[in-house]
Amino acid sequence: MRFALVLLAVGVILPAQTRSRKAHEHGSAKVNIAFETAKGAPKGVVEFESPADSVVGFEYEAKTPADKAKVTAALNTLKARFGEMVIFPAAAACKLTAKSAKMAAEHHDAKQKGKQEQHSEVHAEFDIQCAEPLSGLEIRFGFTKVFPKIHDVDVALLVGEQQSSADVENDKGVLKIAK
Amino acid sequence: MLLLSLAYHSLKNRVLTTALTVFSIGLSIALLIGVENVRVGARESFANTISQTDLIVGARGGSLQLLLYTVFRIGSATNNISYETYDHWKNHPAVAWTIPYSLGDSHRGFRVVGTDENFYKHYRYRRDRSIEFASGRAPADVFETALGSDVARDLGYKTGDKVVITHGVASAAGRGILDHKDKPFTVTGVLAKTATPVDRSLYIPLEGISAVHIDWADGAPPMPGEEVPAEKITKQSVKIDQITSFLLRSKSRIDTLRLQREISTYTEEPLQAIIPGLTLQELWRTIGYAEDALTVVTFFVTIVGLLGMLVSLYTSLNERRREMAILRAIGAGPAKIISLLVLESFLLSAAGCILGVGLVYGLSITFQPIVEQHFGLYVPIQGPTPTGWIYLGAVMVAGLIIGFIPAWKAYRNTLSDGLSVRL
Repeated sequence: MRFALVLLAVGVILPAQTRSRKAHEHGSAKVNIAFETAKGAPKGVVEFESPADSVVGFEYEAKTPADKAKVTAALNTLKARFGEMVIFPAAAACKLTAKSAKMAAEHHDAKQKGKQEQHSEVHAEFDIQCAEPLSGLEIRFGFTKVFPKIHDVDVALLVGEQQSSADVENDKGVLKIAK
Repeated sequence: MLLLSLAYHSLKNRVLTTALTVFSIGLSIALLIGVENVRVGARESFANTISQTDLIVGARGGSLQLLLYTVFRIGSATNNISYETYDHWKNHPAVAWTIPYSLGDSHRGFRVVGTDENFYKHYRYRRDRSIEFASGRAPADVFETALGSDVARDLGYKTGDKVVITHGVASAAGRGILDHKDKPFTVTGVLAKTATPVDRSLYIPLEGISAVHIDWADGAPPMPGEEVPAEKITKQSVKIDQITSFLLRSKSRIDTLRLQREISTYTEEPLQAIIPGLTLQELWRTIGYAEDALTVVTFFVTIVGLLGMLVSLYTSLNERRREMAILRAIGAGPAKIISLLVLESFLLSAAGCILGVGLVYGLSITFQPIVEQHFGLYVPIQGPTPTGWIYLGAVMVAGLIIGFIPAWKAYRNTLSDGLSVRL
């Protein structure tokens, strides 16, 4: 009986786990910023996540040389111009270093039915090192200037004990770092 | 300087009217700044209900729901999480500490929380305040409990009293719900007031939650003769199968993001991890319309206060026709007359602002402990917020502008009319 229950649990829970999907909303993106502290010379990480359509222009798997070149170019732009998308205060003299940037397929749900439905996301991670304290300064945004399709971004900020968020629509929004 | 002296003496000459006008403006300012301080205090109190916790972890569901049942003890979890899963994350190398919560039982309308010693050691609220005991100590044995301050106050309990917890979440009357009468808990301590939801719960060891259900089968109490007596249950003999949620502190804030991702994609069990500060902000945005309504009301109160000043200055002009006429007869030009009245108006509004800010400070110092005690609202004693300074500046400028209305009227009154005996 117990064994049957275990099997039932495995049957119910496991598929629920493997089939669970993240929300995928075109035009939106997510940025997480974390610093251990705002004082001294703050060091942190910045994560970026967006449907690939907003960054690359498509979400299918790049197979042709032209598509592969488009992906490489878009990811290079993301890495090179991320400082224009998430604008750290000039007074803190922060330097962003791209750790990774990749396009990854999320799911292929309808393939079995003969369709080629696929969602892909772009994930990027940056290290950030500031020369001056961030206390009392503001982070601003300019996503649409680099990738015009990204117009709604949820930004989360963790700095020391501060936990804040901003809903940045069309680059409008500011995150203030506590003193 | 002469104008200032004239304005001062003129106001002093009408001391009662001046005092009443200043008092009226002062009350409006006190209300405006006070409401702003309460608004900021409410938001801060709300945001600092829980501090120094990086993640709240529970079964997958809504993030607000997880926050509500874990922090505010409102609503219930749809699923529990296994103790093995909790143990896995508790021992994760990036985790500094965890506080487990096991919810589901109650006592006369207050929630019972199963937790461990980490709650008393690590729980923080209002930035860095820790849990303290007003009396007694933390529970150590299975059937011991510590009470939140509101529980002890409302139910009149003290250290050494026996408490019977109720199965499930019951109302204050607790009718129709099964009591764990055979396994009462002894009160070992009462927590000091925190003005947070911590005050409205009873805290028992995790083993206590399992112990009261040790002889239950399929969600039903034991049949007569199958009960396990409390004396036979020890902490070591109780196995904890599941908990409801847990608080987590990572070793580094940078690790928090990685941990959140790892927990959310944990394949052994569907979990979700929320950053409490962000979810509290989300919740505040949902319920924050009330603060806008408050601001609108106080804004109108201030307008009424300023109009009161205008009426006072305007009506006093009748009494002062002769004064104005004499001033003009001895050579004061229209600019001087206008400046004098505008200056008076400005002085009245400035005095009102000073009185208002003083009133806010005085009332805050006097009533802060009472408000905290009765409403759980911590209003910080502080100067005006940036918005408060804007309000003060706006009132001073409004006072200055309003002064031009009676000044214009005074200028228009004719010299002969002012000096006429018929008056």
